[in-house]
Amino acid sequence: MQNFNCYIYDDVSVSTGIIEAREWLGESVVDHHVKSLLLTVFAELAQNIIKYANRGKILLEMTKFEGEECLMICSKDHGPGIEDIEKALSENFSTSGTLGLGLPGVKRIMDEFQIDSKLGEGTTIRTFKYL
Amino acid sequence: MNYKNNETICNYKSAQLLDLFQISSKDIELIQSAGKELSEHLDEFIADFYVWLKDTEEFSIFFSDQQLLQQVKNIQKIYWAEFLEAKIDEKYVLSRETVGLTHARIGLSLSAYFVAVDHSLFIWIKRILGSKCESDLDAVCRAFTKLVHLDTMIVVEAFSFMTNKTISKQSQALMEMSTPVTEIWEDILMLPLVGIIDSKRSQDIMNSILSKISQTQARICILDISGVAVVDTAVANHLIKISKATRLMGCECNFSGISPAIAQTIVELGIDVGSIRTNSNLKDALNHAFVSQGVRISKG
Ligand SMILES: Nc1ncnc2c1ncn2[C@@H]1O[C@H](COP(=O)(O)OP(=O)(O)OP(=O)(O)O)[C@@H](O)[C@H]1O
Ligand SMILES: [Mg+2]
Repeated sequence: MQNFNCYIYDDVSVSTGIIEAREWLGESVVDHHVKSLLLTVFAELAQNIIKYANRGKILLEMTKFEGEECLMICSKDHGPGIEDIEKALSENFSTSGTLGLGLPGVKRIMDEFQIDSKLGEGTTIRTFKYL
Repeated sequence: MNYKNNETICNYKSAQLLDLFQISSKDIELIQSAGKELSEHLDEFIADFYVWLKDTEEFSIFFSDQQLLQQVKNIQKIYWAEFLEAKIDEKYVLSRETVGLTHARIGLSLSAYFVAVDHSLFIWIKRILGSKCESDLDAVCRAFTKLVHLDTMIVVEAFSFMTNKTISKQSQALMEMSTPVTEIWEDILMLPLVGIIDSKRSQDIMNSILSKISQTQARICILDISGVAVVDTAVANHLIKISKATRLMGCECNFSGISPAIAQTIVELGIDVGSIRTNSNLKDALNHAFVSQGVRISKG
């Protein structure tokens, strides 16, 4: 299977998504540490979809980034969008009173990080990890 | 399984359903006027239907009991009598919901139900086309089809309502089984956490730990997280909250089973674990607990 497409719409879908992502990664990513970090990324992005956009999806895909083999984790939603991307990426910034470490953590774990968000239209976050 | 009376089963009111299927008052009239003639032959309809059903696999599984079979036939007759009267109100919706709930409860599959609906519709259309009805027969058939599908939709909604109820009951049961806080020694509690921790589950964990602390007056609580599937900011936040709450009750929380992967994740996420006591494995955590409680264990 080249990719895994996961629809996120409630808490249970996040939990089952994690289990399915773990299975999918099991075939593609060998390193146990890396797998655990990637699942954390999945969980953070999924959690944000539920918290801020209600529904959306996450795509995992084996692909190439600038010619190198890597895994892409991409989250996409049609929620409210992020008002201030720079702030959202800084540590301890949260509009929901939680730790505010999700996005900066994801950025640190992954090798490439692109965020595309328009107010009122939604948010797409594309991240890559070289394998 | 019970459901509360005020819970909505079907997500639509009768008026919305009529709208969705574009069933006009003209359609209703057509069904009612054809219904006058057809309702006199309800017994024949039922007979036709069971001739067909007798050869299906479901029949032998669900209807081997003669008495039950007669009961079901009576219910079905009432069902179609209501259909031919075509008085689509909340009572009508409720009676279709009951069909869905019953099917879900006895484990009759939706696929079997769909096939049966298709066959019922086939019998009705054959009868309409052969009737002395003076209306436009195409229009009558279309009206029948729409109402049959409206019924089907309510049944499907009720069926999935029941299925979801079962699933949430099962996961609740699993959850309760998976927060076994035990007093492993005087003043020492222990809870192994496994699987996925969402916010509902962490609330359950918090509740069971705190009530066990108040029951036992324990001073140390060991939470082994080696079996936790993913640690993310939300999980970390919950664990931090749990440790703060236990401390308020005079019980120190000690997290054990911090694997290299979990440790790395926590560092990458930049989570401040400042005042939280952790151990890489359960053995060290236990050892620490014994020492701090002045328990001495010696061999032989
Ligand atoms: N998909 C999204 N749509 C809209 N806003 C978002 C989305 N994801 C993140 N944000 C915004 O970015 C902020 C920072 O996100 P981040 O994941 O870092 O922290 P958090 O979700 O608030 O807390 P934590 O992840 O630590 O529990 C959020 O508070 C929110 O305002
Ligand atoms: Mg977040």
